[in-house]
Amino acid sequence: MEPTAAQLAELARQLAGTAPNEIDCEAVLDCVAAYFEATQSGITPSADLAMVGQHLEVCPSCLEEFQALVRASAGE
Amino acid sequence: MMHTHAITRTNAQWLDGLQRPEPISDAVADLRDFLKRGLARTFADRRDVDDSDLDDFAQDAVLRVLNRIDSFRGDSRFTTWALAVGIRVAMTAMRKRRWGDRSLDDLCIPQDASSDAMRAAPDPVVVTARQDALTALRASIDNDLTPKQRAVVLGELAGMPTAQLAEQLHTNANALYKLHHDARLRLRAGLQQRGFCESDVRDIVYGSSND
Ligand SMILES: [Zn+2]
Repeated sequence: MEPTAAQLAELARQLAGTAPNEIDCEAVLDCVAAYFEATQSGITPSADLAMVGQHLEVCPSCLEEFQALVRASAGE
Repeated sequence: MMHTHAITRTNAQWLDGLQRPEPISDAVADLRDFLKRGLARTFADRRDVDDSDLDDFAQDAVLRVLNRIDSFRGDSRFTTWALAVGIRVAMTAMRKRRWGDRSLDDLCIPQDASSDAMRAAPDPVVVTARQDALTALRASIDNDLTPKQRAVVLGELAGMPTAQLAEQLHTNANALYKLHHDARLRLRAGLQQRGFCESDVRDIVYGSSND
């Protein structure tokens, strides 16, 4: 399994966003709604919620789901 | 009518309707309708998702919401939280469907790294310098990670869904995330030990603003 240059660049992007302490995808699921509502209303997320933003930097799956939440909520 | 229904309930009304010893069927039906409409918007541009898929996703999503309703923290609208849960359910199912039953061993990643880098930097000296950063990251993947960490990193890069990756490595999603996090910390240190940083690698592929 030899990653391509583009895949390594994606990995490098994730390395740059890596923090010593991160929350995992399960924890994100419980607070992503509050994070989404805070960002939608222009409120700076609390330190607690800011960890969701950090997670989205390093987790393509949760980022995909967050973007889906943005789309799903758009027509509500 | 149903449409206004679903979004005009307060959080307390949702919780009351869904949490009694037996959830009220109206509340469950409204939640299912609400989730289906949200998921329809999510997958509006996807031709591989039809109405019966949406029904299945919405049904599974309702069950998941009812299962984890105790972890709703009350810091958002209930419907936003439920939609996030529904999206996790649907996306997980879609990823599984797309990925099929390929295993980690089946991953065949094309080895076109050098040609990509050449395209980004025609100057041979620059190419060599840039190749060194890519080589450093590859070397770090090969030498600084445990076999499990390497499998997680490479599987994730290849687009293997978390659930399938966890299954193949006989672990769970949380442990998988921890493996990936530890691997990233090691790779970052590995790059630094070799005299590079993350942006050196990204610049190879996407070019830097200084070029
Ligand atoms: Zn995640």
